[in-house]
Amino acid sequence: MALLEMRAIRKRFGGVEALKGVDLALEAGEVHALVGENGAGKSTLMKVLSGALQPDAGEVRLDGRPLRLRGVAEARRAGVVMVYQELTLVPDLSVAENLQLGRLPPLVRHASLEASARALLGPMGLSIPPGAPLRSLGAGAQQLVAVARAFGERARVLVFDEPTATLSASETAQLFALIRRLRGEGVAVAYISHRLEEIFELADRVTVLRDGERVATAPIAELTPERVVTLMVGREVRVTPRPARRQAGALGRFEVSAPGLSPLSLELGRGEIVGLAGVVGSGRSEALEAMFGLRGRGGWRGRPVSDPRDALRHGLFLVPADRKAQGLVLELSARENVALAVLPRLARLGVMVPARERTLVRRWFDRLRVRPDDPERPARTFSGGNQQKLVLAKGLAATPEVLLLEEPTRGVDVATRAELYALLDELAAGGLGLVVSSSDTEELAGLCDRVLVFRGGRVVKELAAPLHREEVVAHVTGARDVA
Amino acid sequence: MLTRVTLLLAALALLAPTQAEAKETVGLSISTLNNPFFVTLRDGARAAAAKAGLELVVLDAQDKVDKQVADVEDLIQKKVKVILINPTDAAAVVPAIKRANAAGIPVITVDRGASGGAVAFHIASDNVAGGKLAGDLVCKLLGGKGKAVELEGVPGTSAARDRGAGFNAALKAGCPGVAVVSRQTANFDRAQGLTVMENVLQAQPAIDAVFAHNDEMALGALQAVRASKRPIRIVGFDATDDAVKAVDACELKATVAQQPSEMGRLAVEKAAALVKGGKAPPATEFIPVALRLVTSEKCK
Amino acid sequence: MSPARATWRELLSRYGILLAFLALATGLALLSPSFLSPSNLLNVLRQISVNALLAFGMTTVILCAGIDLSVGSVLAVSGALAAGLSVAGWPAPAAMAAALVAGTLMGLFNGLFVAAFRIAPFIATLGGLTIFRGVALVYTGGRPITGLPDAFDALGNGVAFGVPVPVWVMLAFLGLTQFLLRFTSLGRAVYAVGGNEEAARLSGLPVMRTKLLVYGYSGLAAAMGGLVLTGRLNSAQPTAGSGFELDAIAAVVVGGTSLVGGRGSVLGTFLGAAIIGVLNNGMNLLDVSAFYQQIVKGGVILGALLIDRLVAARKD
Repeated sequence: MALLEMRAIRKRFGGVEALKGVDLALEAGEVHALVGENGAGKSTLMKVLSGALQPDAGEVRLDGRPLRLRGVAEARRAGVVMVYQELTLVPDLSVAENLQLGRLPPLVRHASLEASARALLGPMGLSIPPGAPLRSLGAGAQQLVAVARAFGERARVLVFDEPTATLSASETAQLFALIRRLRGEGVAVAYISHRLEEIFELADRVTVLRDGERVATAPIAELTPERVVTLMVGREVRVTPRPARRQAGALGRFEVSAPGLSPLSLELGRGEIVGLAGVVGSGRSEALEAMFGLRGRGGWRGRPVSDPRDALRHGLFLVPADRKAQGLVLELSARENVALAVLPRLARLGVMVPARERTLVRRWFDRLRVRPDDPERPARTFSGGNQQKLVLAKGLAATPEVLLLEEPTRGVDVATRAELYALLDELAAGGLGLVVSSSDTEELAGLCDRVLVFRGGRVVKELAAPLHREEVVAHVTGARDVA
Repeated sequence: MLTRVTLLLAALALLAPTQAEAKETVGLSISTLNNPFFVTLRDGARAAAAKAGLELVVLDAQDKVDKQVADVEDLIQKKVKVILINPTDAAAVVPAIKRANAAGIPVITVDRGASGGAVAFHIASDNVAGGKLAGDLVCKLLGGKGKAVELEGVPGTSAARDRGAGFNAALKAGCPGVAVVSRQTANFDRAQGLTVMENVLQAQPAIDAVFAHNDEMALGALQAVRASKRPIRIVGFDATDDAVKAVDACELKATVAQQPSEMGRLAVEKAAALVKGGKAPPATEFIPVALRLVTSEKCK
Repeated sequence: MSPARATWRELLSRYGILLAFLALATGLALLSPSFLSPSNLLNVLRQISVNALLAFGMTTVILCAGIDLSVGSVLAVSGALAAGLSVAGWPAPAAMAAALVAGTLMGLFNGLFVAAFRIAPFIATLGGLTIFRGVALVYTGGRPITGLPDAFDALGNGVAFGVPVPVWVMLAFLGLTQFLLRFTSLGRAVYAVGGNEEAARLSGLPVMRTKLLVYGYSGLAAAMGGLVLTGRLNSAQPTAGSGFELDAIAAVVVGGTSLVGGRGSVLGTFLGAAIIGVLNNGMNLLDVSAFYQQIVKGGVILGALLIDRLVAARKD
């Protein structure tokens, strides 16, 4: 009998079904990797497991007994602990105190605290001074302390979500050594990662999720990286190669650099759609933001782009990843939002001319087919897809030459998604240059003329048409390098 | 919001006294009820009003000049028969007095004067005489020679002006050996009296005596002096309960007793006369209220 | 209908602040015979004019997700400057204009710290509150400035066409502020920056300049209030305006503007100031003790904040 079983877990967020009846079984003393593309449901599943989310259907069993978790604290007590990237430790306390967080006796005696800390850390092979303040340790060591604490709390299931994103090579090695030790002690470890090389080094079994469903579970020995990638991506019909749309002439060249991003030079052609692929932190988002003048150093056509106002003046526009937090002023009407980037054009001597504004908004509402067709409604009342259209309208109203888009269809329903793709195609056909940064490889493969794959802050591969989704994923996960 | 407003109105209805139409109403705009001196003044006024069969409305300006102006304006709206004003500031209250004049409501100032407008009566202690009493006492205590500190009241009030004038005139005339080495305002407030005195103690190495324009400041200064352990004699003004206790305990050397209750009573009596049909005098008539020095025999 | 910009119709249907105000007024009219007379109503309008002026400026700052705690002190400095210059021989209009300029500069000073140096508005304007109060005390020597020319009396106590001059000033400023907020691109920027600064920045709006300008405007409004108050008090008081920032904020909040920015209107602020003014006046007319008056006023403000929170929550 498995130590922990998840059966037929369902979870819906608004209009999107993130988990469609997923099963997962974790054995004691194994490292079980969970892989899948962004949006496949891995994090959602683990949040259900660790008590952070309640499933709409399905059950969780520990030792064969049903487990109703009404929160993270209850989960911890039951022995299921998630080691977050944002640690739940207190930087100002010492290591020893952090190890006992939540179980500190009323009278804290430092000597006994340190003794218990040593008793915990020693057998784990960790040589961290217990009296040191937590903040004095590096990120990697802090994470190890978080793991030690979980173990000290008699955790029986440990969940890791992309733990090595911020770790150095040696810290990663230490973490793996610790995980192996824990495995030896009978702990079940669930390990989410995009990095196939890690999974193939560490895991005993792998479960692949795709679009909220479990497509496969197998021992690692029976798999190859290529096979895993195929499972992640699915047996898709080969996308028909993009019709050559690229027109003559280049629009310009981007020269950007930023913290976390090696200097990058990108030439954008008229009517070209360039995709940026890579995991979070790989540098693709940083690159896009640098192009818009939001971070680091941006340059377009040889001139510096120092902030968004500059960028707009140069004919660039960014559709940000989070339309609610970055793209729209939700309290204002749709009309006011669409007009936001071109206020000077709609005013005479500073006074707004309502007729001009109405005409502009009407034009874009019609062109983009925004629904409901009522510009006076507050932006927050529109659906995700239509909100994205509003952001696009705002940008297009500014008549840019280049559109930069970050995760353009995240949280957008399928129908609107198709509309948006068609629109982007049209815009490119009309001569606009587009740069799309996305974690959705299907989107990139279907939309772009070429794709730049980022890893570790630099472009590691440039893929040209005809684009195959599997190839993109392979390079993003580093599978190509592992085999 | 509507339920809240209804509750609010119900509360107000309970708080508002029933409008007894039979009695004539007189309004008193007092500078602040945070000061026991003015509380006693108000009580004296209330007693006199009850005896005269008058309704007395008391509005507390909380030492805010703009609130006092609004308070007086509201009394005018209420159509009171006479307005008694204890000004927070002599100049700031003038427009309000002029408005009362325009509305035909006689005005009586109490304890502090106003610098304009038509005022029928001004009822105040002879603060100049009181200041002189203090000055003469300080001279005697210091044996004619020494360094004194003066803590002033709210600048611009007649009380501060007059007490200071009397004090300094007395020293100048009869006590050339006593020098006033520091003169600061503590705005008639105890807390400010404390902090100002602390600063003066730091600044002045030698101090023999302190005269404060009111007891609140004197008591504040007392705390500072006690903490410093320096032998400094303190004289206050007003003879409030706390100050009289301090004099008995030999902590304050003396205080000049005003008679705030008397002030309130006189003000209301004059008002009653006006209500009964009396005529206001052509120019402001000053009604002085006597003062006396309060000391303790058993202290040396 | 856009909820962020209020038309009269919207105020009525949405919060019923107007209804509440009318209910309050009706109740007071029943409780006190002197309340509803035209002279008392003008009385109330006159009494709220200084606070309303400050509150109009404060509204623009709060709409921009900021706050200005220094308005009381700016009021004091401006009033003192106008008075001092007049007494020194300047013609009254010039002295008043100088005061308005000074107020605007003080506001811009605050704005510089908030917009350019990114200091939290609460802290930055708290510093302004202290510094400018000190300036007022230094300039006045701690004593009121009196002996002012008639122009001040006319401004503070004069009457034109049967309506007190301060009320005309207040209405004019109300009109100006509403125009700026509703009909200009600057006003649009104010709502956007307050509603979502990040989105405003990404849309290329001049965030820093917008913030700078609203603080300058708040300073200008405070200076105007200072002139009116100086007129009403026939003197420039060194302690003038102490605590006025809280009354201004109260008027803004009771009037329905959200403290987190991006939502509200200056017409609502006017009603908020009127409600507070009516409360003060009513309680005076009913001879309610000053201490109880404080409790009631505090209760109304808390009530308004609660409603603001409930409305915001319901929208999500």
